[in-house]
Amino acid sequence: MDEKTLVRLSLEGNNDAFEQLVIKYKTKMVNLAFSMTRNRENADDLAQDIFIKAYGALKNFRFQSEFGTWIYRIALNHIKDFLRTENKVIKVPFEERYKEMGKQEDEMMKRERASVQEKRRHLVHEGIRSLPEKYQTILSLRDIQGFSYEEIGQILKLMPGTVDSRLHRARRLLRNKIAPFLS
Amino acid sequence: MKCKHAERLILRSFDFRLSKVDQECLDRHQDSCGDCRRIKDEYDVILGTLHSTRFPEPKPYFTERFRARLKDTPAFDPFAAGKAWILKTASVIAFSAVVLSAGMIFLSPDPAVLSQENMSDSEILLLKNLNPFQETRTVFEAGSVENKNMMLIFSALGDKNGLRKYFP
Repeated sequence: MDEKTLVRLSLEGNNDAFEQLVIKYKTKMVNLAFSMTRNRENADDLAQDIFIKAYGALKNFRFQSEFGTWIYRIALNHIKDFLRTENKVIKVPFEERYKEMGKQEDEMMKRERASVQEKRRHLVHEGIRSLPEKYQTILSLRDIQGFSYEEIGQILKLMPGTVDSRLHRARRLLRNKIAPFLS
Repeated sequence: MKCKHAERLILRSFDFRLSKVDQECLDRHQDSCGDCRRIKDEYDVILGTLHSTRFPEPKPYFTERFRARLKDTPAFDPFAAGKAWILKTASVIAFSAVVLSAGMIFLSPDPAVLSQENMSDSEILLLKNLNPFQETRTVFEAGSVENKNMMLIFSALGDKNGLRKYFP
């Protein structure tokens, strides 16, 4: 059954139809939340919240865009809100956070970062988290989730030229931040 | 080619958005520029790391947990949007009414001040339901013309409106 039909059925009160949409998008939502929070617990909770929010806002779905684009927009806004409240509590500069990483990490992360590749991965993701919100979002969508420029333009409601320039700036900022630590 | 432009082309090359001509230009520049080669290597590492991100699976019973939460969520109300709109509009109207009435109370000029500024003495007397000609009776009853003129000149001195001044 196509997604728009499932949305129509959900609007008529058919919760099974909405569950099918949940099953289809749950992994994508968890991945998106994980790519921006780097925390599995938070990613799972956020994905649940996103679906509840989407269910409540289903009456606002206009059937002009794809359901996927629409739910990604809801997801990004929700994750950004979450990150904003989280950043209010902890606001440590990237360089200091990188030095302090060893003290705060749990056993699983220690094991994970044993290899050079894992260490690098952690560094890159910490670098992304230290960037302004709009750059975090575009890097997550393009370089982690692998969306095309056109899809990013639809999700963020941006012109293709803006996607290109914002992505360029985000990557350049990220490199400037983490290049001294890469070696 | 400047290094700044080369960096833009390097980044585009990762997305396969580079024309053949630009690619050749970039290759030529990189052959002669060590800095740009280093920058490309760094981007290679960063983007390669990002592309190889491993994602966790959703936790077990994701859909079941969602179903349980969905039960606690109130059902669709077809009039909910209308109600929300009416509430918003009503609150905006009430706020505007409060602001307007406050403005009318605090910003409108005092009528007493207005009357004193713009009215002549006779008009003020008329408003107070008094005979405005009482003052002038003595002038009309003055015996000689000289006295009458003098009285008129002195009474006109206090008048704010210059046009009303008496010139015999």
